[in-house]
Amino acid sequence: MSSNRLSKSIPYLILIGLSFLFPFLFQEKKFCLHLFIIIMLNIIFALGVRLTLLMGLPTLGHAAFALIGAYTSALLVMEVHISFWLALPLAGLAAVIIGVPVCYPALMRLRGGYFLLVTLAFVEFLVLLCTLPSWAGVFGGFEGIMRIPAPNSLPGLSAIKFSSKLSYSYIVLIITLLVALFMYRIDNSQFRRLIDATRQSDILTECIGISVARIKVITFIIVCFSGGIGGSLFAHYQHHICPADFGIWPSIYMLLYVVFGGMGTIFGPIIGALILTIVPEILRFAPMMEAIIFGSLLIVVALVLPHGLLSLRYQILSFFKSVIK
Amino acid sequence: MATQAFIFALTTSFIYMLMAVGLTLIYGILHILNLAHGELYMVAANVTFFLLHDLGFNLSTAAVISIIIVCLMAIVIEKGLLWPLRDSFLRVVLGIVGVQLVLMGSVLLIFGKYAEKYVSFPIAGNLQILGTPVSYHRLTIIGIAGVLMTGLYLFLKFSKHGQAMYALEQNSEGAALQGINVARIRLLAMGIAGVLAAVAGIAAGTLTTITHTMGGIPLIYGLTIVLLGGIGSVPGCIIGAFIIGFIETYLSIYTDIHITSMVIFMILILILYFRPGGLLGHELK
Amino acid sequence: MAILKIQNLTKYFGGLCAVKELNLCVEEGEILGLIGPNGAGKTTVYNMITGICRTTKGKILFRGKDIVGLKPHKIAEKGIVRTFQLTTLFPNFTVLENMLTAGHLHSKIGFLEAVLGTPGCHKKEEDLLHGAMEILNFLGIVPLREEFARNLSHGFQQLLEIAIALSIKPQILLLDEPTSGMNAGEIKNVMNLIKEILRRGVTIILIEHNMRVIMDYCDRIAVLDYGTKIAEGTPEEVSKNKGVIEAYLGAG
Repeated sequence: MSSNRLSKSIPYLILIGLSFLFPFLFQEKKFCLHLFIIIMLNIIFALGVRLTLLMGLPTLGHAAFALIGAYTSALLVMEVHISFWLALPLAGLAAVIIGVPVCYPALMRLRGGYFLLVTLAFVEFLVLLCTLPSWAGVFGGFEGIMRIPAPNSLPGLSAIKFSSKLSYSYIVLIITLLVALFMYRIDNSQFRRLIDATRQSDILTECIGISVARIKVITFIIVCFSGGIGGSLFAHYQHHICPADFGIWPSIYMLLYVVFGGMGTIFGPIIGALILTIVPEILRFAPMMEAIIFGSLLIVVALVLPHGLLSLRYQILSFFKSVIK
Repeated sequence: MATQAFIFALTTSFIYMLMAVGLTLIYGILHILNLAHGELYMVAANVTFFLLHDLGFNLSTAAVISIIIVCLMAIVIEKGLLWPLRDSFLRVVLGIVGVQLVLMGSVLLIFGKYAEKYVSFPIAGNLQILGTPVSYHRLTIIGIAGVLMTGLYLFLKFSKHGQAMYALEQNSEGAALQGINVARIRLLAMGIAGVLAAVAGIAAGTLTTITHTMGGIPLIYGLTIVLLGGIGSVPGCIIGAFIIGFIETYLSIYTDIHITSMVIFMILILILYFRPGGLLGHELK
Repeated sequence: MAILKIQNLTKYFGGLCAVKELNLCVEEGEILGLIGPNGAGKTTVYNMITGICRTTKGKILFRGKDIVGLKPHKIAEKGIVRTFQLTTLFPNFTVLENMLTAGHLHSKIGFLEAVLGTPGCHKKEEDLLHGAMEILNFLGIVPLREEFARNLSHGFQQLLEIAIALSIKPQILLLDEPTSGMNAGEIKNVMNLIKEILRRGVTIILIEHNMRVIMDYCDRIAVLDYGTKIAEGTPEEVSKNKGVIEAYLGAG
């Protein structure tokens, strides 16, 4: 690596180092670890939503993939008795196998508001499916699945019990970093250029020999897979999942993380997930006012910040530039 | 019993129709999904309950006051949020979700303390129609909805502003050039849609429990109806509303409520996949 | 040798017939003008050749093989490339980014190697950049490479369109009014470039309303009106054709 690239990476390396330090430092404060884990999961979901948005497709149904992943993982571990470590990627796979074919026509043919409606209907449909009393034997109906086990210990590392928040923090952190790294690599590759091209003009993209279908499907596979593994991680952390965990409102929040933080880079969803996970927690002290304050925050950001929170940096910079002139 | 179901279905259809027509007016003209439309419905029901229950107004007065309040709300949302952000879909979604949260939170805060909220219809009893007893309650709902729909039809067909709305729906640039004040027409459309949503909400409030989350389903069902009938098509909405209303009522009799909703969502997805222009509507742009 | 053979090509939009039983041969290495009044169906023919529009009936043979029904990206892969009447670019990309995207087909960069950032991929990206700069150089727009496409003047946008088309290494280039809105100097420049592209072995079909350009540069001309071919031949022959004169004067 050239020295320039190395020096540019230093802030990020510091951040990554700090995030590895955090669970260790705060291991006594269970609530902090809980927040840490939830923020990491929300980052995974937010990054998935961002990828969907990069294709020019707004989504209010991302939680659908988390739902598929969570239920698949829980059922595989509890009913089929396979190891969590195998169930995790299978959960992602299940989200892909169900999500891609079902959403394929919408992905190819629908734009904007119409695609949004399909995602909305899709996630609610799945929620209702899991709530059905007649299928309560499998999905647990309204109450969902309980007593989901924590990940089993790994051979050779039997000392580490993944039922503790501390070790789970590290699992989640590592996976989140992998997802973020993958997204980062996409952003800096030719593939990102193709996604942007598709968003600007799918006809032109097609006419210059690039299969728009292929690009959208590959991107959507990544979206579904990341949502699925996020769901699995959630299930084995909470030890309890129910349909209400995955409906429209969780999906709305996942979209909010990205729109609030900005979708230009991967740091927008990260910051958005961070802030919008912490703020409702802070607002817990005033439960009645929580929704009102949160909603007002969203309205203000929508009116004032065109590209999310991260654009604030550019706005402040350009403000100073204009003042100096 | 069978006719009871029919009357139920009819009433439900008219209530959904009011929501759907408002939505098709807005979506056809404003070209945005006003996700907070269900909350307007919900606020109307809650405010009516409060006025009736705590302040002792009678139903008609409470209803009128609620309608005015919700209508003003709709106009404020348009003026303060939807119009300034009209060029950015994502910012609109961000803001309108904020509006939803504020409305639901406020209702929960102010009216959440009541255990169960019901509004009862003041005139009891039935009218005999063709040998079946039909409650005055449902007759009034159907009657008011019918009057509103007729009024709307006349307005859209014959008034200057109504025709301007259709012009806008077809071609916004051309219409603006013809001197139609787009901003004002949008305000008018939101106001009308607000009134319709409010009436639907108050009617629903006399039939089911009033909560702070009651706006979710009517919104989705309303959107399904709009898509079924074709965006921007008022006659399509009317037909679509009957289809969805009857499907919902008769399905709920024979299966449970989850399956009913699943069927409606399935219909929504299938319409979008196979006939996004709707059964009656024009080609998808 | 006919590089492209259009046989009985027909297109109905609902009840409206846009193209009717069109038969046309395009010889390899020639520049064929395609003219006709507005609405004659010329762009629809392009849309059908490039797979954007479904044909109602008929065959389109490229080097003897029927390409009807192929998706647009497959047709571009075969070497049939077009420009658009309304200049179509990637507006939010810079000129260079437009080129790096257009060159993707022949760069053969795969998804996995792109994301992983393999050394093999870096080499391909270097070649891609090289090729892009070469074409920009050929068209004389290298200084504009960091400009956003949406900010370019109309004339430069049209040059960029041609640059994008060249990135796909076309065997046939379908140009749709490449000189519209240009002054005489710009027209000369563009047509010289097109002549050079022709010289390098690319067959060209040219939709144009500028009659000077058609007469001066085309080897042969086909005239369409109301979706059918009403004349075909050298510029000499066509300019004397009574039906052609009527079609143009009648439409005015």
